[in-house]
Amino acid sequence: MSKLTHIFSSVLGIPESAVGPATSPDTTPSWDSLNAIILLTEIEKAFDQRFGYEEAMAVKSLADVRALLTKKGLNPDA
Amino acid sequence: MDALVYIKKYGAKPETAPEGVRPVRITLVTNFTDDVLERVLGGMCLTEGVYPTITRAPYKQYSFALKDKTSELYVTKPDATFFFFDFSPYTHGEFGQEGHIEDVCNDLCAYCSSTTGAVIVSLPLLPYTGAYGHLFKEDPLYKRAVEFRTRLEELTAELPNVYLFDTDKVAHHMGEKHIRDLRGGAAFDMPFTSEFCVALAHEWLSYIYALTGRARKCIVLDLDNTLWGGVVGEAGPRGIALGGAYPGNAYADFQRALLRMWERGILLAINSKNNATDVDEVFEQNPHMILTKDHFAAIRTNWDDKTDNMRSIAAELNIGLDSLVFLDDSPVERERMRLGLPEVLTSELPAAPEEYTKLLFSLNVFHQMRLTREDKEKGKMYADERKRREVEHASASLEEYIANLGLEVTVAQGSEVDIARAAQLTQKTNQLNLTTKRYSEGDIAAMIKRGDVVMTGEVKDKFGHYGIVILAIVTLSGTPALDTFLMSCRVMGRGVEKTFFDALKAELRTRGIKELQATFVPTKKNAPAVGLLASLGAKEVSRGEGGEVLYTVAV
Repeated sequence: MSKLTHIFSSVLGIPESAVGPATSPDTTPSWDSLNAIILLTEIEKAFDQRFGYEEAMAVKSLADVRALLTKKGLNPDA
Repeated sequence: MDALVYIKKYGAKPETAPEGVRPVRITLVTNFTDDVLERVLGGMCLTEGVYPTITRAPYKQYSFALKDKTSELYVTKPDATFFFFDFSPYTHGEFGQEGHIEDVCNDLCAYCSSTTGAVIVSLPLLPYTGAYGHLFKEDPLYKRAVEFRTRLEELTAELPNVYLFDTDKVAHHMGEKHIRDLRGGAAFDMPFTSEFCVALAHEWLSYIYALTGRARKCIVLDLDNTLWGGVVGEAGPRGIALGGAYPGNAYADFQRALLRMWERGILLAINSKNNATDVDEVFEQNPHMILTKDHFAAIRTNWDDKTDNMRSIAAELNIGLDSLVFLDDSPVERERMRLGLPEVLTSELPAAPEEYTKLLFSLNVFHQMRLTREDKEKGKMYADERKRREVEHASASLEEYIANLGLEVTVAQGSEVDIARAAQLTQKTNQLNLTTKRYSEGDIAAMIKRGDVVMTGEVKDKFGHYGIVILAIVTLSGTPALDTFLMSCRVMGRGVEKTFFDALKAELRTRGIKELQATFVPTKKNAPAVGLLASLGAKEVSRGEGGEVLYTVAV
């Protein structure tokens, strides 16, 4: 299981199989403002990377997270 | 474990407590966004066999909620309330304001007096700002934190159900840079890392263990490469590494640490694959041994399976397997123990002996709400017990043995009762316990205050003191009922319960009570108490579906 799948599944309380690029606050009600913060800090920890506040707040889906990690030269499938 | 694991576990919390998992009501009061703390604490409880129901003060509203006696904080009647206020040196907060400490202390006092559950107040991390440099004691924020600490210490002296946790212990271990999340604090009012939440919850959990009667009581030790370096069968009693230069000094320090645990009332035992004569020679001949044979409540040095030895140690000491901690340097033995007896806490042991003491201190499973006189004398009591066993072997009959002991029971009632010990007995006694109700000191104090009969018995014989080992509570609101009747296993089978019960009935007669209701509520552990009421002359009335048995007692 990838780090991202583990984090999204654990924080949002959804099955790993339900985690995909389309996962977003619209598809997943548990992705509220509080869980958004927990997701952010857990992703930063797992990838040993600190995001800028603006770029982190711009994330609206798991696909956005993947794009952000790629932009930082990190492998989103790690 | 990682915060994510606990967050996930808490997210999947079942609707109701599963079979055998103890429900505990917890209230959390902080001055920051404490959702992560709740989830981590909750997940940790579930991992450790406790089913938590957690209530939190609404965000930034603790001052209102604590003043409002109809708020959720007051109506949920928690078993444990945890307070933790942050005096961050980096952000402006309400504790920087004049008068706020006074206000919070008054609220705390009102809250603590109104609840009978335990209130654990975590002291604020001491704020070291740079503004005053090394003159930090001049800093108003620092002064306030110290003043708050002093006020809280005064509060614990006044109220029996308030306990202080020194949060700086966590800071000391982790370091501030691993504790504070400055962006989290500034952007989301989440000033702490999830690692800090895990460490804090881990400390808090030890209070929940203590309150629910799950604190561990005995450390069972391997010998070779655990209590000393090397193998005694090969190196001989003086050839093992102990004392002197490294690594012998590290093993000696570990023994000193174990001695400190023993002095506060944690039992020690040995479970080792060795020839008994080789081990005896170490005790007799090695001048560097810190622990002597008298420190061990049970000794198994043989070639039997260690899980069998473990069962027989638990039986000899009359405690459950889940009261034992096992420390052994062999990963193979540890794995066997975990598979064979999962109730025993088999801790990992680091490879290097200088790490042993730190590991021992970090286990956090021995916490007691208070240390009573009985705890501090427990080691000696077990030595007395060995002498009694010798008399038992020399006596022709049980009657003769009991007569030889010269037992005396001293009864205390109402305001004479040692409340700390009475509460501790309810929290720790599992076997000879009719109803297994756990009470805090606040609960016991409240029962005495409202006039219920709370009676304890202190037992001694010619070999020594057992301390206060029997407790009865009779509630008088409604039909008089034996709410609690328990005794320590150490005085089992000596007729003490009969003497004590007679004293209880005499007290009830002075209050004009002629009949008492009593119930036996079966648990996994109290089988020894099945026949207790019948042996005291109680008459069985009916049996419930859950196995509980209702009795009446003619007073």
